[in-house]
Amino acid sequence: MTDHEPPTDYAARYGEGVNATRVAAALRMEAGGLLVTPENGGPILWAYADLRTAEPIRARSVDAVLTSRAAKRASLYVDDALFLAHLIKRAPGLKLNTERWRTGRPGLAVGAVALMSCAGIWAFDVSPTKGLARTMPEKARMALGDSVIRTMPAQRRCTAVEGRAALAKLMQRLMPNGPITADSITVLDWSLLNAFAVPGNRIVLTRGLIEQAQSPDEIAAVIGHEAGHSIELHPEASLVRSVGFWALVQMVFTGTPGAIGNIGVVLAQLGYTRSAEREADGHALRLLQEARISPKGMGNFFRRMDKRTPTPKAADGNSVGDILSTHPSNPERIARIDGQRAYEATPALADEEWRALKAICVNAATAPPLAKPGTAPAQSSPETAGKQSAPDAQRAAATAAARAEAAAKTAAAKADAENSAAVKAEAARSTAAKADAEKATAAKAESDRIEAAKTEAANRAAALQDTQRAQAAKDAADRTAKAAIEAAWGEAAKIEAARLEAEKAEGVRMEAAAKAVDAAKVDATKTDVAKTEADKTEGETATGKQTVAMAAGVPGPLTAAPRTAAAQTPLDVRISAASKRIAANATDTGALIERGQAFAAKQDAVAAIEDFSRVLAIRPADANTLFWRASMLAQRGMLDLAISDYNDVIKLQPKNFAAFNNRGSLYRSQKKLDLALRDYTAAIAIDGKQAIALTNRALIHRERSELDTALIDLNAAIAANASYANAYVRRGETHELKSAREAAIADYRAVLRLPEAAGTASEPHATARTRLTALGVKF
Amino acid sequence: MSSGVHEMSAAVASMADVGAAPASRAAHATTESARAPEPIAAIETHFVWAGSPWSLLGPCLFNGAMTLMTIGVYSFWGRTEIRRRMWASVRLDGEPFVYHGTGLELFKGFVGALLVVLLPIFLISTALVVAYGQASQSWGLYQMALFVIVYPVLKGMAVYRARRYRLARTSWRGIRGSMTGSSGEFAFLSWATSLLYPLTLGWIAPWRALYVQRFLIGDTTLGDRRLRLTGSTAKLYLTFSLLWVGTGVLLFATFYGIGTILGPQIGQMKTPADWARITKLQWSQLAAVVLATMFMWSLISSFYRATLYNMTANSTMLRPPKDSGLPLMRFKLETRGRHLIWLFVTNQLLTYGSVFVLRPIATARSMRYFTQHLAIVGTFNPATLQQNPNAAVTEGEGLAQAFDFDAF
Repeated sequence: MTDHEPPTDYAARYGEGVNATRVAAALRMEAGGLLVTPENGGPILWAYADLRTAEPIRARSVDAVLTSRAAKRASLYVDDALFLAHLIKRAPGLKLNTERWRTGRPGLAVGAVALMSCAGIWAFDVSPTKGLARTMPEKARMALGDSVIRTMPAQRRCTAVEGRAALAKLMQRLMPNGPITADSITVLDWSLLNAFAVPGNRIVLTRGLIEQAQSPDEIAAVIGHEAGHSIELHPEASLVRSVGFWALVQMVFTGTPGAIGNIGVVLAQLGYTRSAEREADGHALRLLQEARISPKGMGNFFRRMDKRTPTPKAADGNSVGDILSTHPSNPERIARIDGQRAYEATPALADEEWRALKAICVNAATAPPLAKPGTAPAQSSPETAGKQSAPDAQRAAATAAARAEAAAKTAAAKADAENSAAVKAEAARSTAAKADAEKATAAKAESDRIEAAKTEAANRAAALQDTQRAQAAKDAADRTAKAAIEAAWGEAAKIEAARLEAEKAEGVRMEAAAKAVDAAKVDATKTDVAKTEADKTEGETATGKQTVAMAAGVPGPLTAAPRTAAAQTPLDVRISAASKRIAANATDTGALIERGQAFAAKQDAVAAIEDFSRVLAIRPADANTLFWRASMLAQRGMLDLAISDYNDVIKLQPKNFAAFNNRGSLYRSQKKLDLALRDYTAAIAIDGKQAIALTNRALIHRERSELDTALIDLNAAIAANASYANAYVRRGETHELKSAREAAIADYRAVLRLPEAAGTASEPHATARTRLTALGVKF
Repeated sequence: MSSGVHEMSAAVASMADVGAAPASRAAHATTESARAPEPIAAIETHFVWAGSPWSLLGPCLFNGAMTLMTIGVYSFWGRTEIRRRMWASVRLDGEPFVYHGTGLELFKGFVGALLVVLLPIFLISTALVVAYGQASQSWGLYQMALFVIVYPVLKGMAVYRARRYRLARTSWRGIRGSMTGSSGEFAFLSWATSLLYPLTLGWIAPWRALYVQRFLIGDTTLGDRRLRLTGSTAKLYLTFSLLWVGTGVLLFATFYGIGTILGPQIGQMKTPADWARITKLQWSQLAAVVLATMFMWSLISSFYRATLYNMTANSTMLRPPKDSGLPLMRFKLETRGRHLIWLFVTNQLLTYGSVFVLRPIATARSMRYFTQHLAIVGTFNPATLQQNPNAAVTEGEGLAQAFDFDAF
């Protein structure tokens, strides 16, 4: 042994593993292995290849516990860094990296296989999931689809009869042999823009998508595309993939198979592979060609989607542009669509059907989404549950019913005396029977308007308009012709109720009234509820009226809606002129706005909304159009949507007095008094000299029984605008509530001193007269 | 606050002072031993931690990268390496502990648990949803059974089996540990006693904590020594009552804070749209309140936890084999609430700040703290510590891994 050679003898402590005792041992590095000689026994040779250490030997290691695979229990403890440095030369397997490689090999192998599988799936766009999906029995697929559809709230489904009929016609044309029919398509009343296929040959479309579409061909294309996914079992395959993946992730991290609980969410957000999109496009183009529907709609739709910026749109947190993330409209796809060979094609739907399809969610006007559950405190009792389902309609009905009571004083008195709902109905019915021809004629004169409002389900705004028209049309025997019409309307509801019970009961042939009832779809139960409501809230009817007027948000001087110079032109002329411009250029926003406003003036809210939506699809940040659409939506009773639009207006124009005021009124109709109060206060902060917001805020205070605060606001309103009749009426009523009879009379008289204009402004005068009469004051 | 700390410290100190008392109680309770209680000598053998937790930085980064590259598969091997290093840092009588487990064992255990337990649950769940729908009563009942019975029981089994695996795979001077009882029995008792939480408004916690520990410790052997947890819960209740009241006050403050932030909105949280109305400012305020609550709770619970840990360790006896004439030994732990707070806060920062990559370092820091405050009290003669007669366990700790239940 020369000086520079490392020593081969070392000291260690050895234990046999029988107990925890260690004895001194001599170590010698031999060529064949480590020779261990314990002080109490003979030498043992541990082959270098069999050696193991407690932890890998590193450069800075100072000690180690050594074991040998050949001697499982025995161990050595060596407290000698030099020994370790020499040992790893003889037994390099004990080094960190070699040991990692040796022990981790199985893991690396499994990991490599997993990684390569993923890479393969990604690179070659192949997936075993489709094969798995094909093994699913038809029944299971349908059941899965059902379970997904069931997770979507029933009240959010759009079921307008005409709209569904139009959809059925479209599907009959697009896929006459199935497997997807109109019944397989669920339209959801969601503002987000999306469409997706659900297992079991089902398709979900959103209202947002239908609203954004500019032609029935576009809808046909979208349905064709989703049908393509269905035919190829893409949703099933994606579920297998995504649920499988998430299930694995969840199982690994939490052990819970919770992924299945979110199938709906998963489906709505699923992205398909590029080849899946290509396949779906292929089916869409084939279906369109077979149905002789132009593929241009498809191209236009994707092209437009491409331009859209996916900014959050709706106030309820739904974002538009999901379709962007799930269906990337890349140039390749558009080019493919545009490259289709031309063939003879006709529009997917006639104009009328297309309009009906666009209004497929108008049934929602009577459905809960507009009065969100939980906004009214008492929602569990069966009585209020009905009220919940159509609060607006019922409040209107309640108002009408209350006025009917007033008009048919004798009958109502009798009914009250007997305190029986049946007798009340009978009394009301007989009153209706006695309703003079004049009333009937008046009601009939309004039938066209009512017809126009037929899908609105007792839309309050329509009721109000009826009333106003009636007043202008005739001189009723009653002091307020409006009340009479409403009475007739309310009575009609009751007649219909009676008619349902006994079809051939009294031969009341108020065709117009019956139509109104059909239109309003007020069933007997609702009438009763409305009646109860009317009894309960008799005192509120007058203020309710105000709510209606405000909530309707009819553009006019009060709501400061934008008006155009062409307002004086006959409406139909304006509409046809604008239509020509639109026909020439579908994206002529000026023409669309012009026509939308003309429709609005014609009280055709659906058409107006459609035009405004088209404008907004092109110019999403057009505050004026948003405002107009909000007003129209409010008129249609779609309060949440209207609020959503006002939200956008306010975002764009934080100092828009009218938007705050109108939104406040919508909140007020939804009984969200805190929000309403906040909005009115904001409006007043913007313009403290606007009597309307002050009056509105006073009404909130009054509903909270804060009469003195209400009076402060009303005084301020009158100080701001001494000719604002409504403020006097409200102050008069408030005085009455405070039993200040003289002050109330003074206010009502003040109203009558103001000039009585035609139209909406005459309402305060009517109320003032009614109140003065009730107070026994001559005027 | 300072008076609170002072009081707690006094309680901990008094706990440490009672050294001999639990031992004699234990001896009385041990009917199998006919001998008179043997006083424990005041000799203490301290556990020592060698090195720095930050020496795990390299393996942490390496494992993180490898885990990513292998879609998670390497994590079992990475975990094994970390455990080997951590145990090698723990020294008793100058020698390190050795962890013998392998990544393959962990991986097999995980796959086994996945196939045998979790996959069937997943398949049954899927079938039920498909057959009955999510709104059905059957699904509701099934989910309830799953979350109220199946998962807690499985978790109990996982805890027990993981402990058995780790004991069997860890040695000191070649001497291994083991668990001798049934994981099913433990899981059932652990689950059954947990049902008492709501019934007692949480007051069962100290009793149950010791009950569960008594079960686990009673089944544990280190070499030929059986462990046994003696001592009563009574002493824990003083600290616990402070924690209970503190928790109540904290919860009240939290709800008050949430109410103030959300205002009237709070009654209208029915649909996702209502949630969407919460502004960013409100969300950040809510997050601050929740974080503050968590922090405060860790603060006030630290004193209780310190008391619980110390008491558990101080009441854990190392019993010699029957008729061996060897002396009893016990463990001694002296943790402090304030230390635990510091450890908790810094470890949380380390774990979340590194997106879990440096979690092993946080674990090592905890382990170092406990190691440095742990000792064996009694005459400790290594020659008398014999090998464990029980056969080594071969299964991995799959279930615990599947439940993401980890400890050193």
